[in-house]
Amino acid sequence: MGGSAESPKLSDLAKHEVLLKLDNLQPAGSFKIRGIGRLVQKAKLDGKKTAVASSAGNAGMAAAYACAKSGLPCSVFLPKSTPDFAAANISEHGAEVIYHGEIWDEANEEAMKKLVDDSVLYIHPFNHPVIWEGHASLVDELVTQLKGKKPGLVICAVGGGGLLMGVLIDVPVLAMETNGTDSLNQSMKTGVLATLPAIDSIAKSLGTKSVAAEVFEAAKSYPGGVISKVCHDTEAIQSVKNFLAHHKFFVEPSCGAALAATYFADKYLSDIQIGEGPIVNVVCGGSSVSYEMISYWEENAKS
Amino acid sequence: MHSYKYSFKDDSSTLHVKTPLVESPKISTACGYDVLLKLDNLQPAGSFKIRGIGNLVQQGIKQGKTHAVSSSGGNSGLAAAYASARSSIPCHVFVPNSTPKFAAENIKEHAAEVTYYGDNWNAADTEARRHLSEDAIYIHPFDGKDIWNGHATIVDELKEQMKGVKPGLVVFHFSKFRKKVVISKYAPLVCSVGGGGLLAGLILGLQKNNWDDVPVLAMETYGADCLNKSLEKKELVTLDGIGSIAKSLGARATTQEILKLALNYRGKVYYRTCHDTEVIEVVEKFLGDHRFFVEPACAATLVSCYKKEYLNGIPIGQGPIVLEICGGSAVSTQMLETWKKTAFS
Repeated sequence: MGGSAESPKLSDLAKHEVLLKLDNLQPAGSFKIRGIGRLVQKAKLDGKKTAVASSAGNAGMAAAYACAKSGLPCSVFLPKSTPDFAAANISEHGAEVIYHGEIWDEANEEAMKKLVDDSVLYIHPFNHPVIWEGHASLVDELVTQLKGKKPGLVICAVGGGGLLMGVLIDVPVLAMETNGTDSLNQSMKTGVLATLPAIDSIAKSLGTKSVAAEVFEAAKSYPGGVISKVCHDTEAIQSVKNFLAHHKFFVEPSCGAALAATYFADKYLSDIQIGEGPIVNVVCGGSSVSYEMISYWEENAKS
Repeated sequence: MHSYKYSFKDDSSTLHVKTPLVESPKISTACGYDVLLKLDNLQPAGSFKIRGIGNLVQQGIKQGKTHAVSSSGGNSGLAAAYASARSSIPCHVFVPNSTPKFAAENIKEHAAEVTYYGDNWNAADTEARRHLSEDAIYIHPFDGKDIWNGHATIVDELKEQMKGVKPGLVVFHFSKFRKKVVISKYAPLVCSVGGGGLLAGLILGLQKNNWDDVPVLAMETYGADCLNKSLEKKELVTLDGIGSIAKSLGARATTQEILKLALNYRGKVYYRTCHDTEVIEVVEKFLGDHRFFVEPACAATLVSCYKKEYLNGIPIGQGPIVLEICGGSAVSTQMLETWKKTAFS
């Protein structure tokens, strides 16, 4: 079971009990293994022999890790622009890294070419019902860990929406994005699935041009209510730094977006009807971090 | 301050939790051995200390004690405050005047009363002891069987988690890296209280679990190498060459009893001394590799495998090397920047 922890400091800021769901402690460093792990295990049972993926980020790491643990050879296609450390994080788990094209779309296209027959598993970073089922295990754990007590609010970050899809239970969910990755927020505002012209934020792991259509539909019709809010890069970075000081965990700015809701509680939580139970802040993690990157983020933050 | 509710609790009857044991592909590559990390940085109150202190507090309450007194401004004080808050008893922590504000705040966060007293730990501790009544639990930072038995649960968990595989080596950090006063280039560190609780706990745990042939490696930093010197001379050593300030702190390496445990341990206690600069470098590296921010004290343990030459001459067994990641709350990016400027090699 994944870790959970109390946060006296965040509770103080939110004036409400805050618990952290520590998915940064998952193997491969993020919540991604929940869904991708399930997908890979299921594929293995279905007789798949190999796997291909095309994510240079946390999904690619989770894919490599899941395949290594399941004994499935895995190839990860990456654009040539992928930083060395990101590729190293993937090859560390025994996956073959293949560089192709200048952007993700080209790498992904090449990966798709490998799907020659039924024996090859394609691992999408977020868009698959089995992945969502896997992410939903986070809520199963909460039910056990909270001993039936219902959270007053669940806060999570939204990229493609896989995590959000997993946490839709019957409590309000605050979905956080950064200004520049706000594909869900724009969709919720207009009622139509929005496509961002470009990703303009240092929260790279949230950078999908649009959320999955199913996720958007589910969010719109979710009875517990999805509240969508957007924070600034600078607030996400500040939250990463505060979290490092307070809890000694280093997370990506993408994860910092979810923490920003609580670190800047006056701004993001004051108008939300929070139920009796604790606020559960999902710490989704992410491995694309290093000490030097903090100053890079600060220099490149969109305000 | 919002008073914290402590309504969330796992099912364990102890105040500490069972911590994960995880693989480290990066550190394994660096040293050429399978390396597992025992993540005690994930304990409540941020370090392994809650294992022993939690046990001490629970035992005390069983004996009818009604409140706790501690004399540590560090991780022990934090664990004492947490353990007391969790057990709904008041806790009074006496800390020396030199204790940083943030450390005192961390202790207060767990509803403990903090009193500043004296220029050093001895003074604060003497004052704390003056406040002891019959019904008080006195929480020594590292000495005492209840504390050691609590720390020994690390090995109980390892035994369960490793499913019969025996570690080839267990590495931990001994004593403190506490850059309180920079006296001179040759005495950058002050080993203010000494230590040994973790060492005693590990040895007792290894013996209890029939793993007493597993070698143990104690990592220390130059200037704070109390244990190394004591093991070498086979007697208690008070640090010298550190200057008069350290002496006035009564910087005792450890206790006679702990030293005896170490000298008589069947699997042998090995020791290595590393440089401040290596420790600081590894804090930063570990932050990138595993995304955990640990105190330099804890990072000394990691140095043993990031810099594999420290493993030379140690008869490592077949099983993986287990690094006890003891954690610690006294670390921040500002501190890291300061250390980078002031650390001596």
